Amino acid sequence: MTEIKGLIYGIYPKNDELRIKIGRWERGVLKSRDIEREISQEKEEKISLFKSTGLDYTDPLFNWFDIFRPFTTATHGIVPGPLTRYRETNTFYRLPEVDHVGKMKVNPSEYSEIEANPPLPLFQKNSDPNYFAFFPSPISFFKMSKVNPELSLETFTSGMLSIYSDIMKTYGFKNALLFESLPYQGEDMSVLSPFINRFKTILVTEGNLKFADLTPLENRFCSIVVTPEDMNLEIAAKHSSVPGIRLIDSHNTRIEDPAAIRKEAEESAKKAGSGSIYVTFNDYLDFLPDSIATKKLNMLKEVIN
Amino acid sequence: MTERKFITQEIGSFRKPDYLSKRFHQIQGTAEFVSLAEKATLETLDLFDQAALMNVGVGGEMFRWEMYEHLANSLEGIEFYGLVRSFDNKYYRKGSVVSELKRKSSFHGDELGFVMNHTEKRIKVPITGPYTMMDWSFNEAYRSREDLAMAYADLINNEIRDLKKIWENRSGGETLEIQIDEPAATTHPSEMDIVVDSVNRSVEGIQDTEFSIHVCYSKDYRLLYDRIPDLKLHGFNLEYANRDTLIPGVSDEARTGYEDIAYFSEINEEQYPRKFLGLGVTDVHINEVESVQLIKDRIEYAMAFIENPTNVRINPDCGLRTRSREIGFQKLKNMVEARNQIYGEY
Repeated sequence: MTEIKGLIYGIYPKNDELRIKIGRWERGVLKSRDIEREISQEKEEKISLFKSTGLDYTDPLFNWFDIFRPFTTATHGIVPGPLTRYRETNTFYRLPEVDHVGKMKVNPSEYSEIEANPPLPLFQKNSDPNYFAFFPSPISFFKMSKVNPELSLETFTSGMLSIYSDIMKTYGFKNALLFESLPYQGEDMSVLSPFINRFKTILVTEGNLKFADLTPLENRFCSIVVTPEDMNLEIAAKHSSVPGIRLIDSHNTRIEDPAAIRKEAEESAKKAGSGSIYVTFNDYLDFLPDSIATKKLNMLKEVIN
Repeated sequence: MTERKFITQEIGSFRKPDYLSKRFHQIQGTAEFVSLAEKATLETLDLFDQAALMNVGVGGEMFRWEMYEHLANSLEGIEFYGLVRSFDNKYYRKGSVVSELKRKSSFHGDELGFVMNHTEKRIKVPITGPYTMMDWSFNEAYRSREDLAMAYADLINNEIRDLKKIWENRSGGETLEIQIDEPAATTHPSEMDIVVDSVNRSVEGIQDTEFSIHVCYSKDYRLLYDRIPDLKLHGFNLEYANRDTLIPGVSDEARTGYEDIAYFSEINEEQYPRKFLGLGVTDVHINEVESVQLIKDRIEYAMAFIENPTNVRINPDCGLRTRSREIGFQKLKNMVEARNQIYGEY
């Protein structure tokens, strides 16, 4: 019997009330302290919902305007550039323009006002063992930024992982999730070693894993979550404790059949020679209306039960 | 009306007056809405007259809230489940196609009928294109993205045929101008065949009509230029000013936004007849009103590649709804003035 674990990660869509309140904050009608309180309350409610599903999960990130933004605007050496299309979607992010990677300008675990984004903290405090702190993988972060040509991927990654590690330490988190937006192009994954050696880490990947060099890694990931391409799961199973697969569509409102997803997950686990498998979405859920995200979440709950 | 050199044109939208925008959704579908949309259209046509714009589009699209939702609301088969984020805290309504698409009513018939009865100037009807409609919809009902794009194309083709019937009442024998708006056209490089096939299906079998396409903010216009020979269109109205500098002059360093017009011309040289290029010369995303001289520099730079001024039209990058009516007007005015100053040189 295959153990199926569910995972929800990244920016979760806001409900209309919170969206309107953030709009009021942008127009100066609502104070920063007040919007932070509102966001925090909404996050707590959503986290309670996530907990009730039995899934592993990250913070819903209602105060992140895009998956890089808090780091783009609050890190020494990085500034927000023009709006840029996020992959092939109709959603845009501020292009991080990176000169160097310094320290964060604020303590991200406390209330702080930052440029072009609702106030921090980054995450709610959370000691639940099913909770994972969300970070954009430095590899995609680098590739999706305009970077000083003298700054190498290795130096950038080292700087970002140092920031992520400090955040993990400040919050006292044990688990993290690194989210890869772009496919690999031959990167040496050992650049992530300093982080995965310290924290139980899920790596959510994009594209074909044969283009990532995982062999020099010193430790296994908690999970490598992959797209359903040939051999991906086998590679994920070799380098992580529990392989994962991105089966649920975050870019379509059609609700999948939980029985069909379960069957596919079981077959995938068997193919990878693993007794357990994570099932998750093919992207974070912010590309969907809130009402549909909730239905997809409930569907995933049925899959794992 | 017979002027062919450097025709100045609008791209589509212009900022709505507050009396319309603030109540748009509350009164949409009522007689009051029609009355206010008509009033706003007349005021906008008047502004365009003051700016001496040659082609007035449909008077700034006062009947439409925005390009996706307006068309989607005129169709059966689309459900709206809620808002989806575009960026920051900006959201749009993205429809889900849940069953076979059918037209409930004409998308733009009322608007065209009204505008053509209130101006003698050239008119161009922008219609959101099939590829963009597909790309901006969730697809729950059609087998593939291609099938959905082609379904939209069939509906747009029917719409254009209806607009042609309305246009027959226009005296003067002018050609109906249709602009297919395809901002999504180059966002999925692997789907350029779908773009071409669906745009061509939209215009298939329709005679005596001038067809252009509007694309903006593409990461790579070359994807589009490469398909010029395949697209059954007369012209391309494109955004360039946004990617240009504000430095005056006609050097390559100053006119970085226009450098790939050389490639457009290279492809276009093989076409007979040549396609026209609607040259975006004013940025709709900045409040700075580009000087007449800067706009002249932009046109002159492009003319080094295009040469024949009947193959060039002068327009803003995109719809001016992004700017206040005052700034939009100033941008159009400077654009026309630049065109007039340069006119005699070609």
